[in-house]
Amino acid sequence: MDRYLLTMFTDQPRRFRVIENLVRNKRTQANLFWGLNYQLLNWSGSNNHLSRQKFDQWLGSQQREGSLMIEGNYAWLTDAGMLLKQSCLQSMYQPHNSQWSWLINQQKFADRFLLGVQAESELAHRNRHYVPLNISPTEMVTVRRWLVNPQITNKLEIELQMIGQKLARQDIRLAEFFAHRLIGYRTTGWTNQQAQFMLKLSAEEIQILNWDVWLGVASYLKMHSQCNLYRLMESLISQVPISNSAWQTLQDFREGVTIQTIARHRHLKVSTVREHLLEAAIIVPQAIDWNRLLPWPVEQQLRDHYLGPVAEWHFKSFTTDSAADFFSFRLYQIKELQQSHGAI
Amino acid sequence: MEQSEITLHNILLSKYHFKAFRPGQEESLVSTLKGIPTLAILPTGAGKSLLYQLPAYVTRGLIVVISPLISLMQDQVDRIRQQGDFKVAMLNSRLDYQEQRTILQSLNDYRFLFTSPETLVKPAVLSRLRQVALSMMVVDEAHCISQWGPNFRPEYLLLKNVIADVQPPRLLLLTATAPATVANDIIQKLGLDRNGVKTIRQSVDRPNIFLAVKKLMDDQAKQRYLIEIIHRLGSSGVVYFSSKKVANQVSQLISKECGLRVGVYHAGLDNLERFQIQQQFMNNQLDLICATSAFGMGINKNDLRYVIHYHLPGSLESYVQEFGRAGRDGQPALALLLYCPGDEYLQQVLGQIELPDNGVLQRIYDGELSLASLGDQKELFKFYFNHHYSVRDVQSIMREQNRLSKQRLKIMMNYINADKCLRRIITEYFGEQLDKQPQMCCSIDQPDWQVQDLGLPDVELLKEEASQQNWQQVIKQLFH
Repeated sequence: MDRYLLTMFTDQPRRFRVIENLVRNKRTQANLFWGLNYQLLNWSGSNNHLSRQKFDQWLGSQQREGSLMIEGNYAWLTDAGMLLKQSCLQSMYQPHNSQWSWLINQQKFADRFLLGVQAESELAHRNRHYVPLNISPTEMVTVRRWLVNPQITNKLEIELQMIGQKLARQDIRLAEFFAHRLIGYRTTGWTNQQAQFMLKLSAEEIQILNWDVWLGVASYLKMHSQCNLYRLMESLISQVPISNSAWQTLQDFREGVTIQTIARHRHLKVSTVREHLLEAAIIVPQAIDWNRLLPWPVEQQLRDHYLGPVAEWHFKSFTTDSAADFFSFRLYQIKELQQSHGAI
Repeated sequence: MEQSEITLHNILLSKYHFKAFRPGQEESLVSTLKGIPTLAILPTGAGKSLLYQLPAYVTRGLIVVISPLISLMQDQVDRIRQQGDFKVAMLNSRLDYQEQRTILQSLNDYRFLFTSPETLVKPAVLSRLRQVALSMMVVDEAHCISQWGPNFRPEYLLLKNVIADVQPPRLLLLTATAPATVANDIIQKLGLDRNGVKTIRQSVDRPNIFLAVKKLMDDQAKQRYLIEIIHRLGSSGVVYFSSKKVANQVSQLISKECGLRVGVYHAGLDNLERFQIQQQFMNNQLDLICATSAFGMGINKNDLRYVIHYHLPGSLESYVQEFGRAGRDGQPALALLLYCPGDEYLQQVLGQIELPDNGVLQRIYDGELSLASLGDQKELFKFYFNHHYSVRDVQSIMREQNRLSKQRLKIMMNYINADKCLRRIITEYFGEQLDKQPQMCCSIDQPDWQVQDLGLPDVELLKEEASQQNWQQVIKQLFH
């Protein structure tokens, strides 16, 4: 996804490790914050398999080719790099479902989905002599249990057609790729190479298209919980966009419990509870009671002190509790960013 | 014919649709089923896997198959699953702890268990195997136990204790390429009584495969020749490489220049791509596969018409095993080895174990330095240290392995530079006499050979209907 990585930079310096960690889905509070600042959160997990070595090689090659400048932990696009970025944005496939990147682990989701459809397709043709897609044994057991329901076969075709229609409305290539990815009776689907050829896309575009398709399928199923396929996939679809633990913290906080009490009850460090709330403030800002989390006098004090673009602020502690001060500082940064993005 | 033999023949026909056993199969089956430890040395394509698959129909209990490569296990597992009669599990390092535990707990539900020697010797696995009813234990690629062989895997040395501990009622040792020294070594290293083991050996020679070597000036000339010959050969072939990168590059070139449908097969593929390429190749929806050697071992297609080696194999044993994938249906096939000066250096690098100096190795042994400083070889050293080999022992083993590796490469180079029949070189190397040469034998005996002289049968290609259909039709076709 080399050229997609390039589009994640601008002519202003950006922390390149943040970009690397985001595409690899390393969701620390700092990565999420900077991802919010760069408006790149939708790319979270777009390339889980990217290694540090490969990313560094890519950085080096972009620098040598004159597209990227690197200094310390920061990198930015040169004029030539900006031109290249524009051309990539115009000509390359752009995802439609990346806002759902938190929903699934794409690989695991696709494996289970494909085996489920394959087994049903073979069953519909009364064929028991076939090679099933080899996925982990526990996943195979899940699919086997799902197959026991005799009602599935009749409805599955309709459900797949509905998913195809949803994808086709977004981009016909999504529907084509989805259908040709399925395996079953005398059908082995397109390999990546074949998909490149048929859809006239590059290898990196197919990688993003593949990610986009499964996010699209997962988001459809999330909204159609009566589907047989939802029953197969349910346990792999996240119910909330933040970690379960952070979600629990958020619920407790919304019910009026203080940070200290949450920490005590759930045997967590206060710093962990604060991290949970920061994660929530970044990902689900509408769910936050900002007035309670960042009381007006504290916000006013911060407002007086910090001016200019959020990314350029340097933290300074006002009290002896620097951890609490940093929490307020980061919250204020997040609030400012969310307001400027129109999210709250 | 005895009743038991009639039963075997009936199963062969009803389940595998073969009217007769291939040479060596029936003898091996009868011996193994009688409970005699059996070493079956049968060439690639002779149907070794049938020797442990068929007994599942006439015995009870678990059949444990020990295999050195995950790609080989996967191939066998796929085939048993396709047969559709038995439940089969794989236990190896790819599974996480919880998944391994789940399989062990439900081991009684399975008829086949494929595992690696390093997983097999784990206390939890051994203790579970002592509890379940075993039908048979199979050591696949048994030559891996021999330090004389090219694929020596020290973990195989642990199998001696496993066999003594578990005492399987039937024991089958399988290999395609074992000269007498290696065959004796296998029996000895597994702690078996030489007189108590029945050895069944079939000739390593595959008369239906034409053997050819082509020497070229340089890499560019090699690529040009490859394209030219594939143009003439057409569909149903495998090209082996020692490098994934080169496999990718050359596959694109073949696809562009020859207009063939080419798949690339290597360890970097995910589950789906591996499945797709295997199945498409089996169904003749792909014309050709470019594979790295280790991963390509899982390719099992009866009507494979040619195997080309783009890079030099590390040994004659490996070469014979790899080209043996061609012509399993007994019809004419081609094994072509390409060479250009300098090819041996890549194999030299791949074959040599870098040996750290005495002081460094001692510090690692004493725990003062991390094993990670040994790089790619750390697992190998870890094995020896964990099994109480001294620094001196390890150095001596590694030096010997390096010496043998050089020797094997030299034999491979002799094959390339041969001025006598290539078939004779192979059979003599494995201690056999070549009684009869086929009419189309090798590029030494027929230096002006042409593809059309080989009599390769045509391959029936499948029309690619699905890829032309729109998405609605593709989904519909899955169920109608």
